[in-house]
This record gives sequence, structure tokens and C-alpha cells, in this order.
Amino acid sequence: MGENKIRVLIAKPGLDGHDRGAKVVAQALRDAGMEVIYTGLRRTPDQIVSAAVQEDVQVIGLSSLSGAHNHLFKKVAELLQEKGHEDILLIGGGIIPEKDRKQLEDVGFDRIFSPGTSTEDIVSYIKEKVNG
Amino acid sequence: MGNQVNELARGIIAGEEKALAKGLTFIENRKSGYRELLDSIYPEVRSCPIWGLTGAPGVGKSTITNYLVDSLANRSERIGVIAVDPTSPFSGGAILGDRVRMMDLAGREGIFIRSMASRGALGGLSPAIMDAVSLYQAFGVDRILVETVGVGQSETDIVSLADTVAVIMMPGTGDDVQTIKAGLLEIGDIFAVNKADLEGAETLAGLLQSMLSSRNGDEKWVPPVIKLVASQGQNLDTLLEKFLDHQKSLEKSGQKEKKEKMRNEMALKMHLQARFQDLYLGPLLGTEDWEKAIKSINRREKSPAYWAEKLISRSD
Repeated sequence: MGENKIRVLIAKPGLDGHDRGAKVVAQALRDAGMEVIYTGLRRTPDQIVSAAVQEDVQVIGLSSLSGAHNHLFKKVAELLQEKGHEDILLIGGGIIPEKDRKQLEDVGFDRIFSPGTSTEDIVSYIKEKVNG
Repeated sequence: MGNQVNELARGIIAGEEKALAKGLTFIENRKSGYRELLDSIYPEVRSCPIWGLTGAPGVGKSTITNYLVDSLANRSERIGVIAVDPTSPFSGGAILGDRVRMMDLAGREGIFIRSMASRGALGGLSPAIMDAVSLYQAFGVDRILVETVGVGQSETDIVSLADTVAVIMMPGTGDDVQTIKAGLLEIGDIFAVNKADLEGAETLAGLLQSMLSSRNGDEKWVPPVIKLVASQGQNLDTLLEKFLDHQKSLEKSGQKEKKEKMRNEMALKMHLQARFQDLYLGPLLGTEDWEKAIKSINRREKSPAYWAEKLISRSD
């Protein structure tokens, strides 16, 4: 009967004014048939998690170019665990050094994409993880 | 399956946010069991005022919604918001961006916001959106705000859904004839000219005034025209007042029941249409008869109208 649309929340936490990358990803996901809730710039981890819960998304994608990812990304992961939403696929991208990537994956991120990743890779990663 | 539905229904009626969020997905995806879900919450549906905002993309609907929700929540009302954005007809995907202007509301007690894609509904609203309203009303909100993209000629559904409709416009989006032909004049209870600091606002407001004065009918309510600069908060309080005024006027004149009846008729019609599609159209697609009909139409032997009649009479 119905179809299961993949719903994704794309957010930029913290003081970071550059959202071109996030918008490119949002469009690519839309073009792949997903419903993308775009929340815009300068969001707090609380706002992001609360929006994700109400929107009932299967995926959260965070973008950061400011260097504050360790703190902000981690906070989002912690809040999700606190509220019992570990089932949400948590991914990130932006300017994130290799060593931080591993650290973030240790605190609950499913995947951190590095600069230069093709949007096709992100699309197929999400589809595979969500639809199994 | 039955358990999951019961659990969702129980949670929604108990006012649990997570259950409402999951329930909305359930009805949106039309998962099997969604009818049972609607059935089990339906006795708990409590009617509440429903306000609609419509207008072209970029006129400021979300900024205005943000203000209204903020003000009402400050009066300790519980508010449900449904923000509808169009589904891409090419990919089936959508970018739902209304939260960009409403993010300060995220996480605040008593405010529930859900972004929904139109998913191919022609009049801007899908049956799932009517059902989402029922879920909100069983969850328990004091007021529902529905924001839809008005593409000009097809947003009339919002009239059947909302008790009060505000049409949002801005200067500089085409000549006067656009304003008239779009059919927007007939659907608004309130007209707002946003970005009133731009050139042409005065003219647009004046035009609206004069057009509305000739709107026929013996209505007691004369739709007001308000000039706003929503980004600076200018005159938004007046808009809120007009919404409340209109609501009072509906209650006084007994129109409220009429609106409710209209809404229910619309919901039933939408559900029936979807069922007809499942029952009749679905099974026909791709069958031998179907291919035969298409071939005959291609060869100009018979018209699509002929075949529609023929196929329907064969399917019973």
C-alpha cells in the first residue's frame, strides 16, 4: 500500500555562516526522492534534536566548517542517546580532520564524510543503511 | 501490527510527542493499519480552531507563522503547526524549508511542528494532511496552523480545511490581473500585503480593497487588508487580532459548524477518491485491456473518454 519515504534532517550547528555544502547535499537527497527538512544556519544541538524527533526523520546530517564540530556534533549524539533515539542514522560532513572523524564515530556517528565526497556516495550510503 | 497501532493510538491520546511524530509518519506513508489508527483515535478528536496561511513562495508565510505561534504559545496555548511544501514531480523528493524561519520555536514546550510534502496532491493538500489534523486534535492542541504554498490556481483546498484563511501577498509579483485571476480573492478571510516597505505595496493594498468590496455575498465578515513588514515585526499584532476577530465572528454567526461539516465532507471525499483509485484504477494499469485501450487511442480509433467509460463498466 503505502511507500516509505526516507526523511532526512539537514542542520548546521553553531556559529558557522557557510551553508552552500549543506544545500548541495540537501538538493542531491531531494533528487534521489527523499524528503529533506532543511533547518538553516546557527542551530543549537537542542533545537536540532527536538526538530528531528517531531519530524520523525530516519537520518540526521550535520555540517560544520567552523572547527567546532568536536563539541557540537558530540552534543547532538549525546542528546539523541539521552532521549532514546539511537535508531536515527547520524552522519556528518565538512572540514573535519581524520583523527576527529574517528573520535566522532566512536561517540555515535555512523559516518563522517570528508570533503570531496560525491553526493552519489552519500545517497547510496543512506539508502543502504535505511532500507537495509 | 495491531499492537503497534494500539500503542501509537494510546500514546497520541496520552499526549506523548514521540507517538504523535511516529503516528504522523504512519498515516503519511499510508502504512497498512493506518485506518485502524485513525479509527482508534477518532473518538478522542476534540475540535479546535484551524488557521490557514497561503501565498506564493517567498512572500513571508513562515516568518508570519513563526510570530503567530510564538505569541499564542506565550499565552500558554498548545499549538500544532503543519507546514506543507511541494513534492518534486520529477524525483518524488522534497525540500521542506519552513523550519528555517521557525527554528526558535524548536524545543519549546507546547509547540509541535511537522513539515509535510504535498506528495502529489493536486489541490495542495493530500488526505494525509486532513488526517494529520485529526491526530493533532486527538493529541490535544488548542489551535492548529496550516501553512501551504499557494501556487495560484489550486490552493482552494485550504478553504475546506481551515476555519480562517489568510492570503499573504507582496508587491512586485506581477500585474493586477494576476491578483484577480489567481482565485485568491475568493478564498481569503484576511489579506496581508507583506514587505509593505517595498514599492507598490500601497497600490496592491488599494487594489485588494476595491476588489474585495465588490466580492459578492451577504457575508457579515468584510475581509480586512493589512500591510505588514513581517521581518521587522511590523503590524503582526494586528494580523493576530484579525485572526481572533474572525474566529469570534464564526462562532457568533454559527458558521463554525458549517465549516466543520465542510471539512468532514472534504476528508470523506479525499478518502473515497483514494479508495476508488486503489480499487478501480490500480488493478487496471498495465492489464491487457489497458494496453488495448492505449493502442486504440494512439491510433485515433477511439477517444480516452470512450475507453474510460468502457473500462469502468468492464471492471464490475
